[in-house]
Amino acid sequence: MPTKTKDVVVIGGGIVGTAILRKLSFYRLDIALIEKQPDVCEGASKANSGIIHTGFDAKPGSVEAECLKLSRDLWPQLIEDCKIPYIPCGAVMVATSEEEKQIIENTYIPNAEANGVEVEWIGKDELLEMNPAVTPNALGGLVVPGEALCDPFWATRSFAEIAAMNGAEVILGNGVRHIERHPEGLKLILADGQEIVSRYVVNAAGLWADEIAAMIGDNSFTLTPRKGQFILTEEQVPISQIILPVPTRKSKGILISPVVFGGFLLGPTAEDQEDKWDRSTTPEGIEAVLSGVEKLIPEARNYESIRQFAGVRAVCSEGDFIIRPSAADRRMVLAVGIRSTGVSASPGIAEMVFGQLQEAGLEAELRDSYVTEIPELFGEANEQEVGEIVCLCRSISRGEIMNAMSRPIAPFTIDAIKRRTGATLGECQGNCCIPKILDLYEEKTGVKPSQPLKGLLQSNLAHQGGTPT
Amino acid sequence: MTYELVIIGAGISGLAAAEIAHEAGLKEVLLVDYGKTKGGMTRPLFDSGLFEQERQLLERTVSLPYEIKYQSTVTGFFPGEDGENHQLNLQTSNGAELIETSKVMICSGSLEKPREGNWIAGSRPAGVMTASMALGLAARGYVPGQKLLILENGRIMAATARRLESVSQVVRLSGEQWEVTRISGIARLNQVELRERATGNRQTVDCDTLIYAHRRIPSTFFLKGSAVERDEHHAISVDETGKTNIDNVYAAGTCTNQGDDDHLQSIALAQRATRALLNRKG
Repeated sequence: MPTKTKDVVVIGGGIVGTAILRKLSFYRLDIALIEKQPDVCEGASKANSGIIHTGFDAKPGSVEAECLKLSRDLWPQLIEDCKIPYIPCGAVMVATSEEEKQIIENTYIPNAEANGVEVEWIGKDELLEMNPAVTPNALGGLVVPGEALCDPFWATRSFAEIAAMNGAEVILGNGVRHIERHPEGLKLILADGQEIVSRYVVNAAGLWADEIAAMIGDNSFTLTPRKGQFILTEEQVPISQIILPVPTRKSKGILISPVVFGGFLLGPTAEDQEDKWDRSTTPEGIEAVLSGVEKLIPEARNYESIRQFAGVRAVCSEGDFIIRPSAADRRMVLAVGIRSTGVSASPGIAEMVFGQLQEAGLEAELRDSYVTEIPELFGEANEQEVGEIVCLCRSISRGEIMNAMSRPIAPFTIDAIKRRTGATLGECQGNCCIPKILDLYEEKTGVKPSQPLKGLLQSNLAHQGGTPT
Repeated sequence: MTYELVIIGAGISGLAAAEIAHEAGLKEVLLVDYGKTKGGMTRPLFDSGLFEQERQLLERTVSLPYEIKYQSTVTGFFPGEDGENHQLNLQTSNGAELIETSKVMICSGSLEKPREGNWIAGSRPAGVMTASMALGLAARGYVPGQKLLILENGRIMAATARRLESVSQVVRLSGEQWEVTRISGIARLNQVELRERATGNRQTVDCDTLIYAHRRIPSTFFLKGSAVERDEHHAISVDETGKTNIDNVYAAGTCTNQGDDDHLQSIALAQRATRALLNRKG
């Protein structure tokens, strides 16, 4: 295999990596993204609350607060350009005791002001009128009108798609095995043996960013996995805003919010653990979510759930985002320790990383023309295109699934099709339509995979074999 | 054209309803079904010996002179007021259609409630699936796994186990006796932890596939927001004759609150409901 050369390679296909790739793709640079899993958005970016935070509660002066501030100005245009499903519903931090009300007044109102985020205290009557499900014990709440919900799958993918349309190479299912120094840059050796020499590398490897940094001898930070368990329900919960508790020292706390795909999300927990791969839910964790939400929404314990899941976020030893060139080799720029506001901060992180690359010596000139908008690839021009319903629970048609397979970042797994269409997200969790989706995949690509994948590498759903008698 | 009767679903209940309609002499009858064949989700099990009544029903109804729209799903239901015709939005492989009918039998069945709807702890690897997904994979030449654990809770699971035993190693445990408490494995399932309901004893089974479902999801998604009453599990609320709250709209089988998860009552319920809808003595 010949060695490729690139100007910049981004390691990690989460929301941070793809936001950086999108930004870089506007410049005359030869760039690539490397993701070890078969699709973008397979790590922390896929298992979170989907909230675009304003940063009202971020520590003023932190890198995180700065990225969130930059992002606030960038999101409106991004949502339009990328057609990201978005609900500008606002959030309310509910006080259920005088003590909590004091914390809001003494901590969160001044903090929001320091970060330049608009907030407003509302009394109990107004709170309950907007959110009838909230406990009558509430004293009132702090409304943060700028908090919003988005589809993080869509955001991540659309960033990568715009980059791909501008010529960026997106390498999926092929992680970085090791890194060597090279006169022309850093030499990345991938899992399949492929070699890429890149003048600059951005480390946006999420939970694994410490391992990537260690490949060039940078052990300056460590990442600790912190698990968050969630419950998804399709019950009709009468709330119109994201309902937040008053946070604890460790976490923003357990919240309940609408979901852009429909339904409501309860969670997350905040559990430190050692295993980066442990995304299991536990009876204790689920109980913690229910008892947490129950304080705000008394009915919560009676909800049926269509799914529970856990995400793992990266808690950094430095207690803040790290966005800087590595001390071990300035040709690697770190974008790591993005603990819990990765989706929200990603546009700002991309700006800051671009600045760091320039400081490290990257010369970048804007292209004469480049794509900034996602085209209408879901255009349902005629009824024939729409076709029969494939996913019964969510009423997703054949046409929608076929269109998803024509997108610039093509899906290779069932979860990738889920994230592009919403199919399999409903109550039956794909048990009804996954075999039909395999048919459509075969029809589209002409290939019947011997071991179709659910999501991760090696997550084979089944294998080709004998027919039962 | 206006139909005399539209039967939503050509599974066990729908076919039983169609047979009664034919006996009653109805001519303009339409069946619509999500699948590509008659018989519904349990069709692959009809030859197992555990679905003998259903197999015979299918045989008897093979040549009914009624139009069937396959790969078609009702996406909207608009009951007619004061004896007017009902309207149905249909999504087919050729696009959307609007159908009018004077009577409706809803036999849309149900999906199996999977692991996720039953709050089972653990990870979310590939290899955990319901019986119908396992059968759907098998029908396409895929083997669901090398070593299957099947939690049996009725004839659907028992027949599925029989079918898969010829291609995989199958461990069968009684779902009445055992409950699944934890699922392990990152990319693919590797272990299932179970608890004996009566004693609290635990055991683990090393396997790459778990075939599991408990309770059902009535396939009534198209009734969301319509005037047809459903209970808290989204099953259509019917009386003992299958009558819904809407005139000339009856329902039978697993999409209703009278049905059972294993389709044991579906034929009888559909026969009774269709007779009631058509004012025929049973």
